[in-house]
Amino acid sequence: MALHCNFVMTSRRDFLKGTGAAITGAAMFETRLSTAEGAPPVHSKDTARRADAGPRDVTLDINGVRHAVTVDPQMTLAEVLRGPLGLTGTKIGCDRGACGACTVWVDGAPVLSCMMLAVDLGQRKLVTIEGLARGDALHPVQSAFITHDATQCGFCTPGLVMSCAALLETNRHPSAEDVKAAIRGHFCRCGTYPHVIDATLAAAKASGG
Amino acid sequence: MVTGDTRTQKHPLGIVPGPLGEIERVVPADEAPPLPPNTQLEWIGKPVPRVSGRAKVTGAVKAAIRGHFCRCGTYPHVIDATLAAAKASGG
Repeated sequence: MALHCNFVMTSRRDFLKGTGAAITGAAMFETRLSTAEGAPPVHSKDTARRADAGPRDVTLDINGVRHAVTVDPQMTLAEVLRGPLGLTGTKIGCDRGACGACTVWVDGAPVLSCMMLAVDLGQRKLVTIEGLARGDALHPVQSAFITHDATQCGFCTPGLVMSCAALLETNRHPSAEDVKAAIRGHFCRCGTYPHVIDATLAAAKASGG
Repeated sequence: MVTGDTRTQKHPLGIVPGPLGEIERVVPADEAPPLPPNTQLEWIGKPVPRVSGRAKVTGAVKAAIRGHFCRCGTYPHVIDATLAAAKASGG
């Protein structure tokens, strides 16, 4: 039995769409009021901001390569990665910051890419699961995930790998509790958590930790 | 109760990694010989690397189940089907 989660709660995307419609409606109402009273239309700071709310060109630093891409301001980082840029290694599980599948690094820190707008990335450096390996040489965490069989369906794996690898960047001697804290917020429906913890500890050991 | 042509055969008895004993049983004449302990076998009891492991940890897997939560736990089959489809189409 397949169970969609979207009918339970309003999705982030629907919320953004609804908010945009409400702002547009309010602007039209404001303009009509002004016109009806014979006064010139009011152009507040917000109105000016709305005027340039269309697609915009941004340059994103992803995995050491700069990508010029045109994005809508409301597009999340995860949507831009998977859509225009074709980097589908980053998975979107819940699209509301609950499952951790979309985790990427922003300036070395794990971030939920479904909870960040692409236009907000600015000049910060982004690393996705595709940029973790050095050519054919896998990151120690990636290798350990394979040898410890820390993947089952593999859908949550990219996010888990990014968080575990980020942990080793800041803590070369993690304990099992450290790993559990690092993967808190990651949802693995297959239940591979024990193997994920073993793999991360083994990767730390293999890296000299 | 074994009927027809029979013979006796010795089987290992016990639970690994504990010590294994041996027991003799009456079996049909065409019974296959007993399997030796796993340590003497080539495949049974040995870990095998997951074929899709590398693709999964590098983000190469393209999953078509975004946003779907399946309570039957058929994700592995969905992934395998996706990989097979990608392979069939030259991906």
